[in-house]
Amino acid sequence: MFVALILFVLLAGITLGFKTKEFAFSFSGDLIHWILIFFIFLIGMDLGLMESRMEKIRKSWKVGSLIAAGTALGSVFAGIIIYYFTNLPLILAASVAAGMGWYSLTGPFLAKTIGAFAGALGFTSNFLREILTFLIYPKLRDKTTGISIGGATTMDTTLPLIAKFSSSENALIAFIHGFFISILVPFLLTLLSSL
Amino acid sequence: MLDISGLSSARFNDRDGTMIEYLASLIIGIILGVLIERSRREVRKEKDFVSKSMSISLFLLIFFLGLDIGRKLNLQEMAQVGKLSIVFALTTMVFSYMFSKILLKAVR
Repeated sequence: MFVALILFVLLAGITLGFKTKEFAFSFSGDLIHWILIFFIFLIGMDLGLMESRMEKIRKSWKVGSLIAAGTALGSVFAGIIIYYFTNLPLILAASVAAGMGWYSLTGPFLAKTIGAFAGALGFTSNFLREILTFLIYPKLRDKTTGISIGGATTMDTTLPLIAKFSSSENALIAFIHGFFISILVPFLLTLLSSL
Repeated sequence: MLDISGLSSARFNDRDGTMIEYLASLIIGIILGVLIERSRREVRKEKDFVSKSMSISLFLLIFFLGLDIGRKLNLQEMAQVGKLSIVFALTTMVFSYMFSKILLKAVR
């Protein structure tokens, strides 16, 4: 029921945004930013109010970094698998996959370094990864490992969803995971496009 | 050639500055939570307040995020690279999950 409500709110927003894209709601990006800052502050407060918090924070760093390593390795490996099954160049496939959900960086970066097709593919693939995380994450049984599907977005846009459908501890893991991925993506894209 | 003129409006380094702001708000939240927890015997009211505020923020965030997605949605571009994008999105998600599962199991 709660998942349906979340999806309804998300779809209502998408529909309204799509119908009014020409003339309204240009403030939504800034609003998201400030609500997100407040939300992350609340996650921090929730952790601070917990007993045995230091132990949980220490554990979260370890698990978050491990999942980040899994996300990065898995994404690049997925790019290699796609290369084997399609006629796309290896560098293009690996670079698109290495975007790990950060579409606003991957799209323009690949458009500039590899070409227009790579840019469009990098943008839409990573954009879809964010949307699919909203649909798939609530259904996953293992909520901790499931953080990996969100890629870089677990630090911001998909963080509220993770916090709501799992725990504050997992929200902190998601934040740390997204933090590491956000550092890794620019390096990986630069490295792959220079090969 | 595909037209990706719409992509130029995307902020190239939108995470650089905001990462520090997010980290700062998380740390301030933790410090405030610790101070409250240490100064009071019972923190149930504060926990309820945090829980309710998180629920309200979640719905606001999801609605405005949808609004932002709707504004950025380019159906023409989606149609051109749509199928391949779904393959990329799903494959990267599946392998990320699998690799993370293996790493977590290996360390634990």
